[in-house]
Amino acid sequence: MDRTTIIQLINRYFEGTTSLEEEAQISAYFNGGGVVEDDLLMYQPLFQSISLEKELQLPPTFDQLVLDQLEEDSNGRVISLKPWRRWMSVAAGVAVLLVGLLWILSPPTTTTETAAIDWSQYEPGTPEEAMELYKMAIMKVGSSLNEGAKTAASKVQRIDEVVQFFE
Amino acid sequence: MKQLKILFSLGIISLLFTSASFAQTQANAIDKYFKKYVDNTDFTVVYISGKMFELIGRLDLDRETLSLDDDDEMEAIMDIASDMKGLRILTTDINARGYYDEAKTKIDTDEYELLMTVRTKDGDNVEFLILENEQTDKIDELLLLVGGDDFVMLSFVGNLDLEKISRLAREIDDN
Repeated sequence: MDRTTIIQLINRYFEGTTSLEEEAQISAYFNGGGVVEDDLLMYQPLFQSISLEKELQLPPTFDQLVLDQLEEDSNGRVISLKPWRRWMSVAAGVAVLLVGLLWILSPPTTTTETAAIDWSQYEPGTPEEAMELYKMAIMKVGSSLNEGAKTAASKVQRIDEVVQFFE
Repeated sequence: MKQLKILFSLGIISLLFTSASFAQTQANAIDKYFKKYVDNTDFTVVYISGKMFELIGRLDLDRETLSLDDDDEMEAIMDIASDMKGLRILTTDINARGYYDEAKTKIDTDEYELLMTVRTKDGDNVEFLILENEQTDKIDELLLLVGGDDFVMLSFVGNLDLEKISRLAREIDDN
């Protein structure tokens, strides 16, 4: 094989574009016992080892060896992962509850943003004043309730009138 | 099974904590929804504490000074006062309609039950909202929203009995 062809083939081999036949040609060049050019000697160990690996054969007893090895190992103790899994689920549950508790017990952000109302500054000075204000407030409740009841009653009456009309 | 039991009891404990913290925040609607109104200078704010209601109970009052019509009315008012733990009043005559509409949208109706809406002769709209206590069958809070020329918010907190309140209404009506 001439120098230019083998260099081209080696370059294409490293680019990964060689065909199987071309790779066989490279292998033949380096392993054929022919003269290898000096500047290509550095590639010789690589291509020699590739062809050596191809020649490697497993001993006929290999299968048996693997089976024997497996049998030896199966004498070991069987360890169950189950208890761990159970504890993991308990731990996860506890973690979720702890996070929930922390969230519940931590003060809500809205109250930390605005301070709680200091209601005491809005208190009347005397019980008499307080009584007067309370009386006005509760009387408003009472009178509104009455008006509501009356409105409801008059509506019922109007419905009664309509019912009577149809009867 | 043991782990399940532990998990279950932890769950119950956390639920108890939840309801406890929930109860704390239920104190009153104004603290909950209307904090910004309290700081707003448009509003006049009044607060009467449970302690003050105790003092009111000890006052030697007569109906003339309170300009009430009769003793039954007076009695009904004092009866309700004995159940009171706090009264908060917020009122403004600036943008009354706007504040009233805003207040109505802010209240969580899952929590507060709308007892009734009344339109009075003066043209006021009054909303009665209650926070019921399922254990005692009483009312933890009665909240009135009044929208007319003025916007008024009244929050009565205590161990309130609707029957006592309607008795007062009857007494007012009789006069």
